[in-house]
Amino acid sequence: MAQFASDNFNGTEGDELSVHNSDWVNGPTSLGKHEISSNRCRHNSTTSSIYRHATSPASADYSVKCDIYAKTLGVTENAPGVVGRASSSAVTFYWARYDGGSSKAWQLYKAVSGTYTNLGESAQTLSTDTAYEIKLDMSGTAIKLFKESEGTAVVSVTDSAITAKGQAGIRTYSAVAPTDTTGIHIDNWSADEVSAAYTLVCDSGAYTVTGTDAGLIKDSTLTADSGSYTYSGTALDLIKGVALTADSGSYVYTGTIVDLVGSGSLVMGSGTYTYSGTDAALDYNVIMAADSGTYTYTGTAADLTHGNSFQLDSGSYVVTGTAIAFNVASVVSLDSGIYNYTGNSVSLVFSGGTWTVQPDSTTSWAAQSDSNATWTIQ
Amino acid sequence: MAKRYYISPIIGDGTETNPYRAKVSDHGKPWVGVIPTDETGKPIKDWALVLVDTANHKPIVDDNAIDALPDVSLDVKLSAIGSSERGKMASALAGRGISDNTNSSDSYRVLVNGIGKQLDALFTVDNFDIR
Repeated sequence: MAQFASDNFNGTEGDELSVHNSDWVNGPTSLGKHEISSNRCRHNSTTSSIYRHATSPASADYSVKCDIYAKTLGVTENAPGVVGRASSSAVTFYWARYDGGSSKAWQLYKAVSGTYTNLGESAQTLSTDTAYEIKLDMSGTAIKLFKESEGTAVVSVTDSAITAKGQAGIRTYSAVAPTDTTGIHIDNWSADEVSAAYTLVCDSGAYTVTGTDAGLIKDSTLTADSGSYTYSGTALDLIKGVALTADSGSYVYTGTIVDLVGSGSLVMGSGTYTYSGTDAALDYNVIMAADSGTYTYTGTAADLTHGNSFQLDSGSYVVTGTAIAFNVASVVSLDSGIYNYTGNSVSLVFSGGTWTVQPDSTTSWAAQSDSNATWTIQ
Repeated sequence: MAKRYYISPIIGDGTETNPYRAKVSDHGKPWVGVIPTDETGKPIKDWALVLVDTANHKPIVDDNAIDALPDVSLDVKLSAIGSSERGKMASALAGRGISDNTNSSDSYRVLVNGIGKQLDALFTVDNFDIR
């Protein structure tokens, strides 16, 4: 974790935050003020405030944390916290906060263009004059609130509303102005990049990973403008919960017990995805969208597209194996192009389009029931 | 404490003091909800997939505005859920226009993931938790 910004608020009593440290930028819109108080930071306004730290993160994946320190707790107390992916021009950010007012709860908010949504909360009454850490963690669409340095998040949710890296900062809601002896104050603020070990960004070139029991990029993001990713090994849990975006280039996976893209999203502009192995649960609950290019799967006992959505504008899908359950309960949209399946014990459920079904041995077609489809059985 | 999934209406007006949120928040229990929004911040659906953590779910189950999903483990096969419970769930989903593309051999996890993905394509139940 590489820290890219921090402030312990040690400074001159009463200094407005941007006077204390010119890296702090007040606003937009929420122009209430913070000031230094006993080497902490406190809100001093009756209107909400946001301060963004001028140092930009390298990417949208980072965490922001601080200590909150309750001098008093009551029904009209303030709700301070940390923000991330905060826009410099719009009221847009993720906000992990503690509501010291009526809720007495840890809360995960988002604001998009000035409209607020509470994504989750968990109540806890804090002790006064005690520091509690609160952390907002953003990794792709995984948004989490942690408290008290615990290893498990209090609130974990998927949200795709804010993807720009924006800036890290602090934000406080308050209808009353805290004083040096009232309200909830802030201390020990910092912002940290997500560990480089979990983020691979490739402008060009190749990544090659070889090994066993690899949990390489779980909950991470792989972005390739060009180049190749190659993984070889066994027990790969490569991109679970991950979004893979390829403008061009190739992804090649080889191994056994492959759980390649569980709960992920594969978006391919062009290029090739190749999977080889056995007992593959390749695309379970995954959305694959291909503008062009080819997906090739080879293996046995493949449960390739169960519960998934396949969308193909053009290009080809090639699947070879046995005991394949292809599109059970799935959505297949085909504008043009070819799906080529070879195997037996195949259960096909398609809608629309023109399909060529080519069994290689005794075959049971469990479902070929769509009046809109044109079937060619060979 | 025990966790259970619900389909909850979304309430609020999007202001800072009355944010959009799942109606289960009225019950004061720990909750998390998938609430996707458009470019203006307005929810794109009028319902949310919600997970609530509480020792007593009865007040929420009894809330007529909220649909309780089956109280089973994610690894349980849908075929193992009682027909009455399955029928109630199917009716609740259909009533809100939520697609259910599962079959009886699927696990409850597939169903919950399928509901979540109708809200956010990148939803995964593995990153949906509250405590």
